[in-house]
Amino acid sequence: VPNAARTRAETGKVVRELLLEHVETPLDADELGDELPLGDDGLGLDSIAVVEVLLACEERWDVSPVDLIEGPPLRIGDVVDHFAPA
Amino acid sequence: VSSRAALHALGGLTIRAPRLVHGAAGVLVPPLRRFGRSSFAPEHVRELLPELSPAQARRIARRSWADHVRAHLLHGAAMHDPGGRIQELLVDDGGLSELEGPVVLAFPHLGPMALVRPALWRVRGELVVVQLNDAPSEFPHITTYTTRGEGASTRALYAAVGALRSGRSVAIATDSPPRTLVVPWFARSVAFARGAFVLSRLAKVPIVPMVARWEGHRGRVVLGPRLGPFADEREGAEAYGAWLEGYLREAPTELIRRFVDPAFTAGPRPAAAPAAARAAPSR
Repeated sequence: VPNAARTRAETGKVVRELLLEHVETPLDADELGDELPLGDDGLGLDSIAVVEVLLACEERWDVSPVDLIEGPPLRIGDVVDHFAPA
Repeated sequence: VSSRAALHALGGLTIRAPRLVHGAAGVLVPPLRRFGRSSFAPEHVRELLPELSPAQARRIARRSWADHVRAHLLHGAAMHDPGGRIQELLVDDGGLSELEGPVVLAFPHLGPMALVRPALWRVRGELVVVQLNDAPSEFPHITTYTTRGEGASTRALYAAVGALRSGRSVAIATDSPPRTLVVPWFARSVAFARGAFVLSRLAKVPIVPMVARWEGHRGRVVLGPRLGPFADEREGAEAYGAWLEGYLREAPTELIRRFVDPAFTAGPRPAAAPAAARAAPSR
């Protein structure tokens, strides 16, 4: 999907697919709500997995995640909002 | 902690009279080895290196404990050294001043580690240091990132990947749990932190092992060969572990508790990686 035509839902689908590649417990994408944290109290991803997901998003959409990682602990919705077109 | 603080407080003396302080530490400290939490038993040295005699193993255990105390004195010296006089204690930077990046400088906390810092000052290009403490760099060509604190590891790792991809080098320690890779180590196995090997994989750059080594009351930095880049983290950790094991076989007096004591080393030697993984491209 070209960046300009991409919707938030389409961005969310890709983000969830990338996250699922790093989750140890098998989950379905529809179990990954926007409020679910990426870290220990949610998906259980470590910092290495988080960076790998963010790098994959950056390479795919050419959007830097620097502002995102400067903020509070990440939830799935934060990642989707950051990379979804404004 | 209090004994460590006392050693650091004595560090100022180490800068003013290094030969005297290190000589005194070398004489006074070994008999106190059994009281030291960082000491290890000579028989554990012989489990790693059975060719050594009991007397040689005892000498290594005593020497290692004395060096542990001397390393803390030197660390204290670095803390009391705004003028950079600690550089006088660095015999050789191991070629860091000639280092061509980008590479991951991967190091264990071995030997006179406080001398790694002045050695890194000499790196010509820009350098990123990933570290546990949050001390900022006093040099414009060195940027530090701490891994301590909420989200700090993510920020440090992302910054390190960006630095490597833009041609800068990164220095990072290999002995900080919790995320580790277990690799063969002498007759047993040992765990290394994943960070250095993840960086090599993500940025497709080689790893250069780096250790600090005592030389009398002074020290030198020793660099290993370029290893990788590694598409497989485990392969990178195994190559790094093999180099470090070879270095310590040649210099067993540099052994430290983390690499000797069965409580720190990690069980039986694991099976070798599958041939397919070993055949992964390494350049």
